[in-house]
Amino acid sequence: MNVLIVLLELCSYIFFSLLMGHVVLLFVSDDRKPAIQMSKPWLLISILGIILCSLGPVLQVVAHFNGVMSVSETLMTVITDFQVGKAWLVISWVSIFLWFTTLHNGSRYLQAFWMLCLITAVGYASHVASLSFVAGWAMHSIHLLSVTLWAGVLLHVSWFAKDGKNLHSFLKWFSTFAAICMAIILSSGFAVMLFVVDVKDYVNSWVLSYGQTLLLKHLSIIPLLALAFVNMYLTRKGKKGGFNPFPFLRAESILFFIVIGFTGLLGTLSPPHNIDFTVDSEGAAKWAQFMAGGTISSPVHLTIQSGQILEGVSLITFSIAFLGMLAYSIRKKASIVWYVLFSVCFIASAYFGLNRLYL
Amino acid sequence: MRKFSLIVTLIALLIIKSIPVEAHTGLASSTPDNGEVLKKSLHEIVLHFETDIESLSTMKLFDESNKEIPLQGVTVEKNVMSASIGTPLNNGSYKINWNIVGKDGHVIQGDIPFQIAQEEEKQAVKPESEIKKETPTQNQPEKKNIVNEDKETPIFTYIIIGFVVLLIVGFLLLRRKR
Repeated sequence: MNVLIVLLELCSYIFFSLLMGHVVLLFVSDDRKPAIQMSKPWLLISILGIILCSLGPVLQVVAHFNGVMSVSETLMTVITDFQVGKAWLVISWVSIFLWFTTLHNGSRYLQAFWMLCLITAVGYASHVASLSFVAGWAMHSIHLLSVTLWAGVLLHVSWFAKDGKNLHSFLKWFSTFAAICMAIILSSGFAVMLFVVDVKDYVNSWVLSYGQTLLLKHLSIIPLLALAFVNMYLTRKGKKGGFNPFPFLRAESILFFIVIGFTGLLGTLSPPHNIDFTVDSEGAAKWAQFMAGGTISSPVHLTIQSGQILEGVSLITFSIAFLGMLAYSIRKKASIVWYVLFSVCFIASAYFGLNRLYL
Repeated sequence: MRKFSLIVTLIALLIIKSIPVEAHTGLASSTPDNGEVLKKSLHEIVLHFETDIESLSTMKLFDESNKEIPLQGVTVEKNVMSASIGTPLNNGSYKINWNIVGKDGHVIQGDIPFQIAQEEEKQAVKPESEIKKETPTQNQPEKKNIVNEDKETPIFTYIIIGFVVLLIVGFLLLRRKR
């Protein structure tokens, strides 16, 4: 069940990004973007996909009450009464409007408006909005908006561009656009995180599945940023051509899939508001206990000495070496497989290294 | 570019300043309290949560032998869930099991152990050791808590060996390219 919900969540982020990218590119003149071959049926299917995939959080609640009440009864209550249910109703209605607007090639402003409505509807049902309504709602919406703006354009150009025409005039504005989006993504993401995890509790939260997943998400952002910087640098430097940005853009989008995969997983886990309490009531994460080599009980207070320093430090050294290998493979103009491989190796070894140090 | 980064920093500072650091979804307070020993019988259970909860949230009452004691009129009002107990409770240990859905659809559950020890019947009080087990450990100035100090997890050795091999093979393969 949980796997299904994570997959639905992942797909909904991809659909959101694809649609947002489509809308953004409608506002860009033809000589500043490569020709995109994404046909209308795909866009229409993506919109229906959003309706289906946004049902994930609703299903999660229904599954939890399975056995206590009948499924249809719970479903009715959740959809009509719960915040997640109401948000899903709004998302479905807006999606239908967006579907017809896209079908009839309606105004791009109208399409952009529907997209904004969808984003705010998702933000409304988010976890942070339940903690602090206005600030949480706004923060989550801004985060989601900037992510889909950046990733949408990235996905369209990296996978659906017909040829390399206009690529350099595109990269010129896109590198600035991406930098602005990234700055907003990182600051709003940090703000959203502060609602859930106290900065001083960040390491302690690793005893719970949520903290582990959050760590993995953060680590996977690092190679993504590294690739983005290399791409930006090479764009500025290699104006005279000879530089093919497609491998970078595609590797970036694959890393983006990894990041949103972890994000989807986060949505199904209970946030670590009170770590000691969660450890008492649900116990620490099995996987964390396995890595710690023993039972973890409250009060939780992890320090750099709680694990094994030698192994931890060597694993973190390897992770830096893998980043070096990423740079080396870029210099050697290796294929995208290498970029992704070294990025994943970086994530894994940094992840194990940090856990080995602290757990 | 400098102007831009200045603006971003300002925005980030504003965001951080505006956020309340405390945020605990879950139980705020309850009657009876966690681990409380009541001197008189109990008629009503009231749980206060940190945030508003959804209508499907429930709670159950169990006695020592884990037999459910029926509760009457479980109601949810914003962040308060309450229920009344029909039959008066005898001396002994009880446990309230609450199961809530937050506004974001997150499911949270927990237990509140408590006891009833009325003056008239002293025999029903549980032995000290068992009480200790049920009340959550608080204010223990212990630093580390991994009970089993056995640090030999061989999996990390394999992971390290695996990464070394990957690094070397990757480097050699890449070096051969042109």
